[in-house]
Amino acid sequence: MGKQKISPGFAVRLTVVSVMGILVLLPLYWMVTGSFKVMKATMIVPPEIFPKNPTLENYAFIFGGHFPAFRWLFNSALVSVSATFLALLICTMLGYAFAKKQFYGKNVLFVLVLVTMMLPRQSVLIPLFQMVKHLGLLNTFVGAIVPIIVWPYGVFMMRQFIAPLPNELIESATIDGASELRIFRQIILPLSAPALSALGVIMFMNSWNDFMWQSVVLREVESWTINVGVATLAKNTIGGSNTINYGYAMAGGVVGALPVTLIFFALQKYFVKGLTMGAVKG
Amino acid sequence: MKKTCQKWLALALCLAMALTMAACGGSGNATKSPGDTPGGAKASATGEGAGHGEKVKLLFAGTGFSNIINVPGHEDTTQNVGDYLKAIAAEFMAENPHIEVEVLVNNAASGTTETLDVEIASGNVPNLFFSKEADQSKYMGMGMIQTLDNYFTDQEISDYIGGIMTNQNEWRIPMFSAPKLICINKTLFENAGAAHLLPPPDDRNWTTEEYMEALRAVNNSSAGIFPTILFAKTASAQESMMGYLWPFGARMFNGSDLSRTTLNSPETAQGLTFLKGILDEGLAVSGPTALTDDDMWAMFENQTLAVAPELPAFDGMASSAGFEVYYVNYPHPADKEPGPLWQFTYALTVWKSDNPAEVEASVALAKFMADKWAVPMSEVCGALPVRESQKAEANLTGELQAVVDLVGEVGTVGSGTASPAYPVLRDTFKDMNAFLFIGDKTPEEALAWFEKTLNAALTK
Amino acid sequence: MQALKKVGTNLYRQRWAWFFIIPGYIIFLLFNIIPTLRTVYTSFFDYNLTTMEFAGFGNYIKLFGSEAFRASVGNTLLFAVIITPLSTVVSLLIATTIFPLGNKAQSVYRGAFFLPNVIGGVIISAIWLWIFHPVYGVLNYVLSLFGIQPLLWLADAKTVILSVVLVIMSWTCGSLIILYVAGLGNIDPCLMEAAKIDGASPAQTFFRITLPLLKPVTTFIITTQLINCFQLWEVIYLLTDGGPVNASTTLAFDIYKKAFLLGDYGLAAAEGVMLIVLCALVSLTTLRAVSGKEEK
Repeated sequence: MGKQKISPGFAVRLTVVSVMGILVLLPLYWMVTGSFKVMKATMIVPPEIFPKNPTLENYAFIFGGHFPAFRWLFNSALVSVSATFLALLICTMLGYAFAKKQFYGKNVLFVLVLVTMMLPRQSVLIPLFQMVKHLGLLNTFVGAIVPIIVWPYGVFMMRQFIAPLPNELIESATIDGASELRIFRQIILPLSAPALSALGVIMFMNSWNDFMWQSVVLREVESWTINVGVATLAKNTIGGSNTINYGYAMAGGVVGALPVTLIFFALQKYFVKGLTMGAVKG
Repeated sequence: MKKTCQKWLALALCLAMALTMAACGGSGNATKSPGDTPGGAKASATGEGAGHGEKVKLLFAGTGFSNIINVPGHEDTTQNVGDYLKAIAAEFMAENPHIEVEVLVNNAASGTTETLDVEIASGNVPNLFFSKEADQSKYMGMGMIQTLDNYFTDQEISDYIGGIMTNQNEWRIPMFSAPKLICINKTLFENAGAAHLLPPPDDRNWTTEEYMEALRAVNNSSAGIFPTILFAKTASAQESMMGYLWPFGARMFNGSDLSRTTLNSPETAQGLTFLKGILDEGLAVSGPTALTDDDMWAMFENQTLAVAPELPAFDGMASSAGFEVYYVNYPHPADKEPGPLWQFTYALTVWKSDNPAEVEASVALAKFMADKWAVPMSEVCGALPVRESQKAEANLTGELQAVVDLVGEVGTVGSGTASPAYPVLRDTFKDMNAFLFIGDKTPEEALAWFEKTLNAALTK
Repeated sequence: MQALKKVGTNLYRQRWAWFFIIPGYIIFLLFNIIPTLRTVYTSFFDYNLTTMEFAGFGNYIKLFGSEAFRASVGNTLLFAVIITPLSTVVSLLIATTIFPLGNKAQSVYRGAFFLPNVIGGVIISAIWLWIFHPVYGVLNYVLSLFGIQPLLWLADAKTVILSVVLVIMSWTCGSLIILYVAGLGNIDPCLMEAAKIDGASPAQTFFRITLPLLKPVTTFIITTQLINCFQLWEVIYLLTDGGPVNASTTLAFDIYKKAFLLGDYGLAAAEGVMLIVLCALVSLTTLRAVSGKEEK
């Protein structure tokens, strides 16, 4: 990469963006420092920018008590990894069909996907639960995973990313005698790598934070996911108000955020530009 | 041709789906449909040996509160969230072998009853539900709760302190509760040399004049110490604000008639004027429309607040923070009697069932829980016993003992928690306070607005 | 007869399309479509979890008479109209600014913007409640340094919408930036080189080449942001409780209140239907406008 002249306009933009980057990170800073404070220290007037008496009490409470917190982490991982993997597969299949294939009722079926995306989760909570119970999936991880994998957002996204891929690639492969599955595996999937990584991270995050559904489907304390577990622990019932123990909540937030952060940084390399170059030329 | 083909396909698809969905709807019907049990079932004296012969199956639902763990006397069976329900069921079944109790834990994580609701929707209706009172009113509104007028003897009813349980349309059995009252940081008053202005320990009532005098004496806003706080940002803990009105004679409803509010009265207007007066004189933290009860807790703990209208839950906090806490009643106008206290209650409701044996067994379980578990649970919840006969067992500190006595002395008042529109009520009350504190409405106007808005919501 | 035969052959020709569609669509049918249809069905009944009484359009009439509903519609539209264009433009600008950077630098920026997205709504709200606090919040503290009077932020009807917009933007722009970066990665660098050789200025390259090539991503972002605005409820629930006095209540939040706090499921279902109708209308209009502009 040769030397590039940095225009003053670009320098200004970069500065502004950098400042914004720091600003959006401040709430995270507050979360991490808050996790090391006891509850009353989180509500001090004026607020402690840096914890005066940092403590590991919150983490000890979550992990050292009688609560199967490590089990919860494992459950979250199980649910999220499975859901992400399945979602990537299915959403790409659907997205590919909607983007590149012709079939009866294609537009109607696609619009239906978009329309169901519009209804918020709590509106369909009861009928969805009835369906899951009817199928005997209550209190199972399958019941927590399967209803979310055909995520309209994911289908829509893959369709948008696959549609602009050049048709010549597919046509020449067909002429060369490649089977449909081969085309899918060796052309569509690699070319969609940036979109797949983006969807993978977002889907993982989504299923990890899918609080409402998991708390309703997974009944036994042993089978809770980490966010449900921490939220239950953090909810004080003193005073009849929904007082939350912010110390526990922040610690739980840190614990919950770590895996997703790791996954995000692991998938970073797929965002590298120019990945598609070789494919187009070849 | 292709376009019409598509249209027909779409139509066929929709029809097929509509049929499937309707078919699925059929299977969602309740397997336990609620019905009215005939009144007049005999009241059993104790919780043991209720109904003999036929096997009865009960579904016992309860909210899994995170602090109901390690219940004194049952530590090893209540290690995890929700375990207490299973432990109660197990003990009850041991004494009543012909009753089988299944437990359903409502997850407290979201703060509402979704877990229970979806179960009910798919046909699993419980026989009993234990939770905060506020969670239960919804089901009262849906007609699912069995009123218990004939299941308790007069003697049993009178055991309940301060009239918290009656024999008229009683819809819930209180297990333990905590009253909203005035919590005082006595150390701050002593530092200001004003401790003599507080009510004496043997008579914890005072007039509004005495109250204002005390507030003025402890006022030290330059040092960051505020006498008291008013809050109107969220509906949370608005009962603390209501507490100021009861001694003036204000009442939210007329007895158990929850169809219209009776709050709009000259007495309430006097109460609201008093409240506004506290704010106008600078004796409350400024900006109440941006404050919540969380702020009250934080400030009280930091000893920047002298008087907090809250539940008597500050004992632990006070001892670790190093100040003395003192509980008294809300102030009453000089020409009236001390006012009653509003109770925040954890209660058990018994639900309707076609099978009268189930209702009887449910009441038996309820009484068992009230007898054997209410007191230890009240300890971990920081609440107080609601029965005279349990006061001794509860092993209360001097202050809390005094609070229980106070409740017995002045009685309890309701704010309509049995109404399914209670969340709307709290919200509307908060808005009314907001209008009042900002100065947008006079007390009379605010009350008129409250009455109009709430009545509209009550007649749905 | 002839037509049926034609359909048959077409279906055979489309068999691979069906192969890719059917497995996913069956799951979709069971867990997305049927519950949605059931909600629509419920909206015409008085539903209290065990019994259903037919109510015709009763729920809808009640809905239009509800002040909270009308306020919800207004606020939801307001959020949609403000957040969608703002977040799209801001994300695009940020993405294009960080895209030319080296890989390491770019990943730092990507991480910085995306990480807030990772935190759940409960924590975000707790953090922002503190930031916006009128007495001890850091925002008012900073303002006081410049001699500006403290604002009431969440407790003032005039500023609550903007405060919520600020929270949503800082929370969700991260995933949009990632999408745009992925989209920029899809663009063939040869095109950019060719434009440079032809002497096009950066601005021209951007508007004539980059932007049109980003159209699928942009359409996706606009549509999904719009739909997301219609789903806003958790942040509202935790930050403002819909207040002050319905100044920030949204449709999704109102549905939650009506269903789980008040127990009126039929009414909540009706509101859900209205939400879909409104959302579909707004999305369609926006998509038309966006595609229409493109044709020019």
